[in-house]
Amino acid sequence: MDNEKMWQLLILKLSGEASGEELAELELLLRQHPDLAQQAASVESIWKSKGAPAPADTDHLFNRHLQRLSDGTADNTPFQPIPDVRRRTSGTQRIFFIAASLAAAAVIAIVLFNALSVSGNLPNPATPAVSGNSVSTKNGSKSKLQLPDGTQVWLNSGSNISYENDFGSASRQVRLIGEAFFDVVKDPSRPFVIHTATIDIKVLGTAFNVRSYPEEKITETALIRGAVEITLKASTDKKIVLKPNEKLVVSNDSSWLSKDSAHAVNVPKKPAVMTLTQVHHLDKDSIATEMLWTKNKLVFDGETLSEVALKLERWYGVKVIIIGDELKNIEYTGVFSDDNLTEVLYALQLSGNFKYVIRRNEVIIRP
Amino acid sequence: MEKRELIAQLQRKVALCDDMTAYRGLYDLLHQELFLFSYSIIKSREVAEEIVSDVFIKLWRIRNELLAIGNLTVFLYTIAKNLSINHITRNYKYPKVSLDSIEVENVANFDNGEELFITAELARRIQKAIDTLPPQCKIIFQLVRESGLKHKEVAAILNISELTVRNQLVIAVKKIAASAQLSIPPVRNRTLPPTA
Repeated sequence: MDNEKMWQLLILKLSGEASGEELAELELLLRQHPDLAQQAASVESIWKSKGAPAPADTDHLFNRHLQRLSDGTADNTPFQPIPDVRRRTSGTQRIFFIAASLAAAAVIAIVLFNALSVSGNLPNPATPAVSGNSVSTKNGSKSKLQLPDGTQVWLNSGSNISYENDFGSASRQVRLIGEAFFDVVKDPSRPFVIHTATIDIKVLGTAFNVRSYPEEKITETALIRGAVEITLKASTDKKIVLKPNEKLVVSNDSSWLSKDSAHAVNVPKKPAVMTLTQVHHLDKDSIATEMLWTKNKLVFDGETLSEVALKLERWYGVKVIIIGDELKNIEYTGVFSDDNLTEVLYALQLSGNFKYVIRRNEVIIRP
Repeated sequence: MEKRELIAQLQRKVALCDDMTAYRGLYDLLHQELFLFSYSIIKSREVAEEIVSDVFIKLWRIRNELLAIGNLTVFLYTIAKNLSINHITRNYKYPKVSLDSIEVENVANFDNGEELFITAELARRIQKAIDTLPPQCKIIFQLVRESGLKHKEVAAILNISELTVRNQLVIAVKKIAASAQLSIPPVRNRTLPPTA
């Protein structure tokens, strides 16, 4: 009997899963059976008569949730496996839960702390031992934060940004280790200054990327818009003003400064002491390669395998070992979006004549 | 943007950037339906709320592995289901219990729509019909109608086949149709057969 068929088709229609054909079939069926059509119509009205869901107070709920997340209260019962609960719950498992909840608490503390300092509701943070604010990312993770003045900071993996409690009162000063992209809120009365190991960058209101990892040979500033003024720590009389789409690369080794002029040294393979170049776009209209990491794209822009290895270590939180010096200077270019480590290594290896092994958190690259 | 797309996007942000705003976004998008789901099993608002919170705690803890999860909605529902079943069977001697042996609360919502098709009397009748559905059938109906889940998703969450999902929906809808028949507006009543 077609009756059953009608119900099946009607269900598909109501669930939003019917194909065009099925809808047509249902329509035909209902036209042939007016009695069924009547029932179908009333069921459809009933199905669709959903009152709008009451808008819940999510702030309240979410805050309570965060509280539980940081308290670790949730660990008392629910996560245990169903069978044999009692026998297996002691010892290590409980320690794991405690450790996990402490870690979670720490994360939440940082996040809440930031949220609170942004809104300015917390004149004296709950952790008086720390005289300022510091946010770090581990290898393998990135973070985005907002400074009290509204400035947006994307913090790449293995990086740290810190600022004092008086941030924003007269000036806005932050200290950066690693890589970050800044979108600075314009405020001429309170200059924004970024301190790195090698350079200081003074900003009025602009977006740019700073890369200053201690384990790398260079510090890079790429300006996307606005203007920045860079001072070299090693010789404070040298000030360089960048225009949009310019990039300044400074060697982290300052010994060269005692020598003569500080302009581009075009010796391939050795980083120039200080070079002014253009921000790089892989193709026209694309966004600058220097800020692609903020879009979760892993970019190698003519980088040697040793540089690639450093990036992989930070990006995926692994240790990369290259065996064989001849491999280290081969250059790679490529953009990876959301690929996992194996996919990236596989692609690199296709063009690189090397083999790799991944063992836990270790990657070994050999000829 | 479609809800599923939005969820996938937030999922990626949480996984790659530890993005707390995206995490909050996921919470806002899903906590209410997860709450209803859990509540229909647990029948306690406090406990259901705790379970939803536990689901999101779990989500935060494993955030760095989230990229490996194909359908986050299914994943979260599955955790919610397991935690809910765990909770009510915690004191049972043999805790492995299927959803079908648990009495399920009716959380379906019928409202006087704009056409005022649903009178209070009809709504009461429909609710009564849903109350008499078998537990799993009730859950399936609610997941598809109230939460808008795909049959495939419901099948994955409850560990049953898509065909079962569809057949259970047919059972539910037939019951509802039968309950509604007595009170269908008189204008169109002529064409109705005397009984179901």
